Amino acid sequence: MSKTIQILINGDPITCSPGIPLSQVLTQHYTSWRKSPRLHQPRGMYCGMGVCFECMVIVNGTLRRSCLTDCADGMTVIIERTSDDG
Amino acid sequence: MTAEHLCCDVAVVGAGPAGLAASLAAAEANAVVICIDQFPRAGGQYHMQPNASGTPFANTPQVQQGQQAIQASEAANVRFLTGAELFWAEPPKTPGAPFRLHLARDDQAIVIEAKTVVAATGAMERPMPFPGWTLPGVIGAGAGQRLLKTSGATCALPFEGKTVLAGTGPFLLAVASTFAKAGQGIDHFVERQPAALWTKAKAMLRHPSRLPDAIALLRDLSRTGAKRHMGAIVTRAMGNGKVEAVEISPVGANGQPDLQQSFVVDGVGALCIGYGFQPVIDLTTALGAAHSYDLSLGGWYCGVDAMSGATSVSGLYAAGEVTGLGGANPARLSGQLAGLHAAATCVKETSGLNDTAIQAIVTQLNKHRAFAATLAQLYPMPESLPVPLAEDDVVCRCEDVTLADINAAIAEGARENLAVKMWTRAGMGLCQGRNCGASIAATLREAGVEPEHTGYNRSHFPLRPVSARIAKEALTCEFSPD
Repeated sequence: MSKTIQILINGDPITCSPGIPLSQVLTQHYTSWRKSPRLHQPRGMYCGMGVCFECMVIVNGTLRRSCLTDCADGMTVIIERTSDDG
Repeated sequence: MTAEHLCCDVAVVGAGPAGLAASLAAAEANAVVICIDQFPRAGGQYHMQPNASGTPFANTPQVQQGQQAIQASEAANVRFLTGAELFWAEPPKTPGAPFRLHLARDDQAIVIEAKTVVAATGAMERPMPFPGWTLPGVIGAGAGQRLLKTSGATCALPFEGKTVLAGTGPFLLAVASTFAKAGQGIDHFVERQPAALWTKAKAMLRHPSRLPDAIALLRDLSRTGAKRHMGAIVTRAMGNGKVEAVEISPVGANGQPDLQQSFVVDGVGALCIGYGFQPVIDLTTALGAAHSYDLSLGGWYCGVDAMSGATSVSGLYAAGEVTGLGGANPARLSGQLAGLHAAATCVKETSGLNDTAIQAIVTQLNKHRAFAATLAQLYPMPESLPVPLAEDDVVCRCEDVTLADINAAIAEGARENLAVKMWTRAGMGLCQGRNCGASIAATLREAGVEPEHTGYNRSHFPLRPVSARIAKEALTCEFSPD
């Protein structure tokens, strides 16, 4: 089997396979990690290929679409909210 | 830091089937070629090169064909810039001057000066709003497919619960086929068009070479174990914070869903939904090329000369889905045409264009386009909103603009997409109207304005979000005259 790597999401270590899209890992753990700007509705990944910007996160200090970002060992990810924030 | 400055004969934007073919053809005709793509690896969606190990999608024919095309291009000295976001493009300022493409890559600004440009920007899914469509767990059909192909050894959707695949078009069958190969089950398959097996069989018999593919797709759909609902449509997604249930309704003879006969599927974790595709026209509209509207080609598309791929802008060529939806085969052939002609206009040492070879490509291209037209006839995309929306349903996801907001703009006199955008902010968000353009046009259509007259979301700076620092570095980049 392939080796696993560790990334940090809001400081929490998460183990995953290297090279898979960050959106896959985020979806598995949170379903939603952003709220919409005006109605504050929970949003998750939608288009999965860089068009909709619903999956935006901060990766190593820079805003990125998680669907276009491959997971790499030691990557630090900041998300706006987690599903349990309500 | 200053912007990196690159020069080339042919800049190809997009590294899918069309862009790869254009890059190789131009490089083999002795042009200096740079091929850019926003994804981390070349291939586009069709030839997507999986990155994670242990995936059953590592060696599919599509992956292998893509790999061969990438390697052939590299061997012909095509320079690939992947993970590069094109955020602005300028046509030549004076005749003979180069195009300028402005890119962000690895937090660095890049400016490419290119004698010619081939736009091979591809297509995107054509999102259609319906009640509950913004709930997490509602994703594009293509998003579902991509998740499976990129998830490595996991090979499962990252959602718990039942899976529903819905929408319309042959692409849904391709997605179902990916699900079957991944071993990911589908609980419900919902296709808006009625089964109409006889009509489909008759149409397919005109293209006998494609029959084995069609039969294989249907067999794969069976392998997913999906309960099929033909002539039905998802009319609502429901849930608290994420999708939990999906309402399905039969489509009546008038094309409208019959909500009286709807039923609900509970325990849903993922709704993958797709209503076809639309050409990605941001680059070609930014450079001022002429566009036309044809629903069977995906709506607004960039017009090109059939023999050369030349657009209405001198030096700008277009190939593949941006010139009207047709699939991978027309993309590859039109890419070859555009690459050859782009190279011929700017390379002195070219072997010249071989008229017989060009004619052979065009003949093949027309044959494949005819098949695409047959499919488009069998699965017409909805031009009006396929499901009635409530006033408080969101149409523009980025700016949370509701149907009520858009209806208010229309009542005030908005008759174009641009007017609706100015009134409501729909299309001003991060996606720059890519997601809501078709649905705003559909809403305007209900007010009696046909899509030919509503226009498209016009490109303006920046085409995609970019940091102010990178934008400044790219736009203020000075070039020494050569």
